[in-house]
Amino acid sequence: MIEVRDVRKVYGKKDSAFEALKGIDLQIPDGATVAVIGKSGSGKSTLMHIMGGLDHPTSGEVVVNGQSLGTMKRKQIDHFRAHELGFVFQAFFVEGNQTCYQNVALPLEINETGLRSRKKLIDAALERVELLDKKHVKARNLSGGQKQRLAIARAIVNNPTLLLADEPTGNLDSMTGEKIIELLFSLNKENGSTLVIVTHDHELASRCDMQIVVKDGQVMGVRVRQVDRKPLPRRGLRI
Amino acid sequence: MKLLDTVRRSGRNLKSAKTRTLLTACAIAVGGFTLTLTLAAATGARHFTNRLVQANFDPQAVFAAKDKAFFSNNATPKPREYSEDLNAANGLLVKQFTPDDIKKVEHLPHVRQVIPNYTVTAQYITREGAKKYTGAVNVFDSASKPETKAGEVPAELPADAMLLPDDYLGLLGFKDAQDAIGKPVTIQVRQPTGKTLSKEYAVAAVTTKSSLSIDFNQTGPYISLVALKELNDFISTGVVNGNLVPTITIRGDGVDAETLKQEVTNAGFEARTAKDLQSFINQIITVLQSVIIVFGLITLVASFFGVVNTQYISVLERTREIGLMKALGTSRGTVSGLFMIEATWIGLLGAGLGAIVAVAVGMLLNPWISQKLNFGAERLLVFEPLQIASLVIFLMAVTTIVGLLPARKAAKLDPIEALRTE
Repeated sequence: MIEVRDVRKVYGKKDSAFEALKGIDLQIPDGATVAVIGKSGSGKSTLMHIMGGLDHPTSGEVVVNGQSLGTMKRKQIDHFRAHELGFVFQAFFVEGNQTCYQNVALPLEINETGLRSRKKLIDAALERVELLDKKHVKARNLSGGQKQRLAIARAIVNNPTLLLADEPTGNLDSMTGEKIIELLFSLNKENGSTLVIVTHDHELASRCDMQIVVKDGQVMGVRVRQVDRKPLPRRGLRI
Repeated sequence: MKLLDTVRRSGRNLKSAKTRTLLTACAIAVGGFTLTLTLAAATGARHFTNRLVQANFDPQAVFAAKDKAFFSNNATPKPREYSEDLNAANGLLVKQFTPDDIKKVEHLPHVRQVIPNYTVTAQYITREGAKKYTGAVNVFDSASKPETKAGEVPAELPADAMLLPDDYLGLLGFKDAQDAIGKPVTIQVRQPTGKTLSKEYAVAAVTTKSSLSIDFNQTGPYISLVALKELNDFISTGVVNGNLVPTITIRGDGVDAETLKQEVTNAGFEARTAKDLQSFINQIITVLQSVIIVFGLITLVASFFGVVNTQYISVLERTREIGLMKALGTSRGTVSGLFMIEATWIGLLGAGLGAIVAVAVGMLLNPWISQKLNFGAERLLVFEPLQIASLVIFLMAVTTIVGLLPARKAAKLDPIEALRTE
């Protein structure tokens, strides 16, 4: 369970102050698929960064499984990110002069996974995104869709309980985008991880359990889709 | 992140910027090169002086003077209170050993032999059918082992034998060194009154100057102590202060030089061992070495700025990568560690490169230097693996410390800001 309680974020000071988030309240159950919809500048990316502990709210708090990110020490937040979190960025952020294997290895190096299980996990993640045959290819030689898949492999290799995706299809054509979406949803179904997608694609949003519409730093509405599907193998967030 | 992963990652980062890494390392290499050569030259010089001292001075013997001023470096001639044993030596008025002093030293418990360092100048040295030459006659010290061209240097030189320097071969009309062996050479000395004494000595061996020999006196034939004393006594008969000697060499009965020195000092004389002499020369070398090392270190300071600059640029270039790593939960310590280890790698590469080039250059130049400096088989540049290893480790450590500044900058990067750079 992720709770966002009255989160405000102000950039700048005094006259030049800009309020990116104006008091956001949300509750996201474990294993849910959530779409955060809004135009650019609406504050949806800031919200995602705050949920991932990358950014600090000016006021309010984010509580993950009963523990507030704001009260956690830097080391605990690092640990939370390294073990529980997967990030997919709009701009991929893959290292061009490193191989696919090396790119995917980064989160496992960070959370100090042993070398043997590391290999297995990387292979599994690459297989999941159908890039196993590109294992030793440098990332700069991949196409855009392949790079985004590689970024997803890197995000899921540590089996995160929370996967945050910022415009995962923003830079891709619709065909490739569709594949990526399928991949993200199937990961959610199989692993039971909570999936939060920041997007302005309404079609993509309509497939999520929960749609949160953000406008000018405020939540304009939350739509919850009543689904009749099998109960998921829910996994609680561990910290 | 585990250390091994950090080290591997930093190595990979450096590899992806090969030219820059290499150029930065070259800056360190210049300092490493200078320091390696300096250390090698100083080591070589120390080895050389040690061998020089060993070849010329008996490590068991003690060299003594009566006057402290004899050993002082900055003694200037000045009026001194009259004393019977004052006499000029080396342009300085110093107290000298009287026969009574020598007897006193001889009676010290551990003294086996006292060799007065007489300076005898022959009226002339000659042999049948040859011209006459003036020159010094020296006492043969059985502890020194001169290089010979012909003949054998006996353990104790008989009173009627001499060692002839090869300079005299042609002058005295010998065909070659072998020709001189066993032939008589005449040395004549003269009293101030004009009375002369002529003695013949058979050539036991022909000596040659080795690269290690120091001749404090002029080159001249060596004869036994007994024979030289006879000549000296003859010359100094009737001469004021003729029986004084400025310095003596003392041999012990097997005690170490330090004990012997103590005994002689306690008896009221000034004494020096071969070790004292050695440490004095080494002190000069150390001073010279320090000067060059300071210059080497100044070069290094310049190259350290290079490392800092390069690493700063590297941090800027990799802002996004650092942001990503931090977003994925890399700790500050790991990020700064990554950059510091990169600096360490650069230090290792630079220092290693400098040391390798220095050793290679040294190996190539050594024969040429030895020839120019007349070192014989001696080498000026002596490379000690341990010394080079510690230099490399030192350079690595310093580059790591220097790399701390850019590393801190990287560690402090805000992941949000870092990821925003597009």
